[in-house]
Amino acid sequence: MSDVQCFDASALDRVLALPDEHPERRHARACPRCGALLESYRLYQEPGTDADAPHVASADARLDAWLREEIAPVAAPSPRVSTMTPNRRATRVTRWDALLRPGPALALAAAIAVVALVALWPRGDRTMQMRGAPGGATVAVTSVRLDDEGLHLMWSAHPGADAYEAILLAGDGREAARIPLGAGTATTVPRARLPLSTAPADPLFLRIAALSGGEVIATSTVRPLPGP
Amino acid sequence: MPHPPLSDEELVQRAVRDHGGPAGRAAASELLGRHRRAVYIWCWRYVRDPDRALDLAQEVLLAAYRALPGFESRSKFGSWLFVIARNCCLKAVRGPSLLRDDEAEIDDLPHPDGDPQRLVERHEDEERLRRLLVDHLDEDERRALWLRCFERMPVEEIGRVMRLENATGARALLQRARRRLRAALDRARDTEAGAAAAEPSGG
Repeated sequence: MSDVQCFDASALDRVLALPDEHPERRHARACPRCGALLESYRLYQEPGTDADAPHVASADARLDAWLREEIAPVAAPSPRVSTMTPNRRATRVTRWDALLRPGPALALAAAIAVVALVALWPRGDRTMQMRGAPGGATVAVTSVRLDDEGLHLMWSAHPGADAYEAILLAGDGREAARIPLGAGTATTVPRARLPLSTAPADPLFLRIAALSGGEVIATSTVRPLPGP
Repeated sequence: MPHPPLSDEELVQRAVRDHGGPAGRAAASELLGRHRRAVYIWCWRYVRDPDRALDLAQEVLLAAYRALPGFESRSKFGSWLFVIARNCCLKAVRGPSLLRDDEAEIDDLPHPDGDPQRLVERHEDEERLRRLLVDHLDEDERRALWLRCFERMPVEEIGRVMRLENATGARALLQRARRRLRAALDRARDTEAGAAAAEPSGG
């Protein structure tokens, strides 16, 4: 083995950029530890065909939603750069994106509907209850998955809540269903209880409300329902 | 005119300057979002289960967010995050033995007992083990064995790293490496036994 000392992870980019004949690269070839570390990093940087697998797109969308809900604050001043970079938009495949894809007109209409939905909600007979919710969106939805069995939901507990309910909204903002979720923070809503069969092509949105004595005390943000 | 995207380093600065605050969290979310795909794919390669990989990726991203204030910019953010992902994956999967690996369909030769074997099984003396590999295995063999046993990399990924045609090639390489290592350990054990027998017995 060469006399060059083993390098640590902070040197990975530097060593990778060196020519093959450089002593540190020669060392990496001779030293199983450094060589394995360097090759692992090279593989990490090259997703290859694995990136095309369907589960990757699904996981990517879920991680994106999770980051926005768990790391980014609800109403934070965003960095100058938009989080929707062209590259990421192109790789994210969700039911929402698929619905937007047919054309700019539909995309615009859907976007207006969502903006109106978020801006105007809550309205109607629950207005006073929703207005009383401290801080607005304080229930964090941590997992939403729709499959043949139904809608699998997980959300954060809200202090003082004795029950939760899911509010499903159509693309135009109309309330499509209101489904009691019980007192826990995870449940599966059977597919038969979801308003999917009437107009399967319509986008659906979800909001989870925390209740105390039947009154809404907090809600989550509105988010699109993922496809199966 | 749109602003140019912030670099990873600029986002790190923002995230650290206001860690836990709204601007810091927004910057961290953007920063981690750029790397989430690579992290997920890395995790999936280890566990081969989308749900488990998603949990693992969330664990990685959360750990990175919490550790951001300690990021010293000695390396690029991407390689720093890679180390966190690598460590999380190493914790999540069991490391196979240097001498036996059911997943790699290693032959059923009885593996020797004795101090050298226990040494490598416990991974206690990395430097001595590294010397052993360098002395007795060729470059490909030791690389494959190290990736499998210390990086805990699945056999399929080893094939990819080593640019072998398929996993069968990686399995064959691992099998050969283990056989040679086993033989080297046997010789080392015999040498130690011979040396012990030659020593005069004490009183």
